[in-house]
Amino acid sequence: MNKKIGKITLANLGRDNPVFVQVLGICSTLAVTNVLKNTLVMSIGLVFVTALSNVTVSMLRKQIPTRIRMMVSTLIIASYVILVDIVLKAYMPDVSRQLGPYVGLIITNCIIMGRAEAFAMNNKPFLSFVDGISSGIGYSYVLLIIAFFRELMGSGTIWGVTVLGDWWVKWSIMVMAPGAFFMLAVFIWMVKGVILKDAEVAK
Amino acid sequence: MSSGIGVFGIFFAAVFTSNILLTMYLGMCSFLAVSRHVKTAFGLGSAVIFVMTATSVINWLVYYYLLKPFGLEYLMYIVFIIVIAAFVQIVEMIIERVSETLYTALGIFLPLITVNCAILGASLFMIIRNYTFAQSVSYGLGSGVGWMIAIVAMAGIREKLANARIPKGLEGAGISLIIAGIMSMAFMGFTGMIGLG
Amino acid sequence: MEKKSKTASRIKMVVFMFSITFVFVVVLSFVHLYTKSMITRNETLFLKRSVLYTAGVQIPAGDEELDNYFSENVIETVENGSLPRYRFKNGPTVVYTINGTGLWGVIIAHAGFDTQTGKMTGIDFIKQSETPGLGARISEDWFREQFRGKKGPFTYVPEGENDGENQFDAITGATVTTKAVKEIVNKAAEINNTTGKSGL
Repeated sequence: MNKKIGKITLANLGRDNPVFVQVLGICSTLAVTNVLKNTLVMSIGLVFVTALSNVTVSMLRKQIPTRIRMMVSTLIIASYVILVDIVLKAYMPDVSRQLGPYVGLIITNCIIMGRAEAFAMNNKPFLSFVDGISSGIGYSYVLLIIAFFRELMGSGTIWGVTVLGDWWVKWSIMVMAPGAFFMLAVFIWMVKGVILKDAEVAK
Repeated sequence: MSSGIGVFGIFFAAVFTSNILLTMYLGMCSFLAVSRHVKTAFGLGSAVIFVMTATSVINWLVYYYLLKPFGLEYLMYIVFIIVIAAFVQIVEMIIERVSETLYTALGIFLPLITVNCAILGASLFMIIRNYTFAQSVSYGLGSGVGWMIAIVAMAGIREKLANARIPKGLEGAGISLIIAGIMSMAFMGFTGMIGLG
Repeated sequence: MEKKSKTASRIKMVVFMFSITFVFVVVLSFVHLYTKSMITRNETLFLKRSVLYTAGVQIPAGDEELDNYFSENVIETVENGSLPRYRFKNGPTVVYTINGTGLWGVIIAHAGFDTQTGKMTGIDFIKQSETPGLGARISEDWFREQFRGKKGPFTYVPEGENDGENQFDAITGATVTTKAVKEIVNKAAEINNTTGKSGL
């Protein structure tokens, strides 16, 4: 059991990482990666939703009629997202105002759906929970790295604190939409080139 | 209500300057997966236009005539998702019965659409931006058209790339993202065209 | 036989979908009711903070103190259907709520003026749905702060080039939003010129 947990976690963080190996689910969250703080909140929400919806789907997996299983899992995911949204509005109003519609878009994030479909439907609740957490984290850390560089190069700040002085010419393009595409591409390039070389060959 | 923005202006902005795919990254998953051939990209694109326009209309009506009067706005996400999923299912069934050709052309893309972030995104944005009914229709249509233009253009470029030599690590997703980035920059250039004032 | 089981599974499907929707909606409704007052409270606190920020007043740290300060010093008036105005009892400052049209939809701003000198005390955007990273940058400090102490009518100049008391920095890549802000501040300045001194 313990071995299995470790295996799942490692796979989700590295070799099967949802972002740079499967290139899944970058849609909803990429848009907030120009500010590190928003990215972190969004990531926490995402990990939470992935884990809990995985558990719920896994618990119900024997009851769900196969034809509507997509609809049911979407419904479960949507409910948890509303929960996150309400909690943010009540306890972190400032963040909620900035994230705006993007919290809602966690629903359609392909990762959550993908994990629910591929893992939770065939595994026990606890394992599904571990899988949800680890794939959520595997996804989040990539986004955080991207956000770190976008904020640093685009605004000269980290976590809102100015670190690069006046001598730094801000790369506005990094804060704008194309910046995320380029950052992610470069990141995937580096990861594939350095860390995942063997996996690439095996493919 | 923001009646100040023209319906045409919204349409244009949704297609070009604020393309839902290239500036909001919505619908990236299917964008990367299905943009290998122009023909399939075109099929998926048309399905997205159709579903996006229709669901924006339905969701607008549902929101302002069902959810708002009863103070149920917080259930918006669930309701929208169900509307979209149900709509896609119904359309799939109808198409299957009515026309074989249409089904083979569009039908296979429909299941993909339920999980396309762009569809839900369009519905959410139109509510958050307080669009009127007419504005929502043009926004839904514009976003769909913009999405299709982006994916078809991408597929065209990728077809050419099949014969190009790409650094190993960039093959597949990497190079697509770089293309998307360049396209995104190009689309930003349209900004000057809409002098909304 | 086959037909019957098909109907049965259909019914099961619908019942299942219905019951699971029901359960989740009930749970969510409870959470919603539980947090409702908190959310409304956050909303009012946000508005009050924004008004004080716009007026250039030091914002009290605690929520209670904020409420107290506000009820002691600020008079809120809503004139026949127009957006609320906030007048400060012991000073010449008035904060107006102004509507504008951005690229994506309505932009609502608080614009504060010193009615004696006609200079702006500040601006804050309480509602906007501009493109993140572009137009949405109007909510950033550098953009909002540049209006303090300036006088209309305003014009905008390329980012980082403003000097003089009726210019402000545009946002690169967000011309439509910048234009919208220009209209908002000019509208506010005009209202202030016509009605500001004469009271509400």
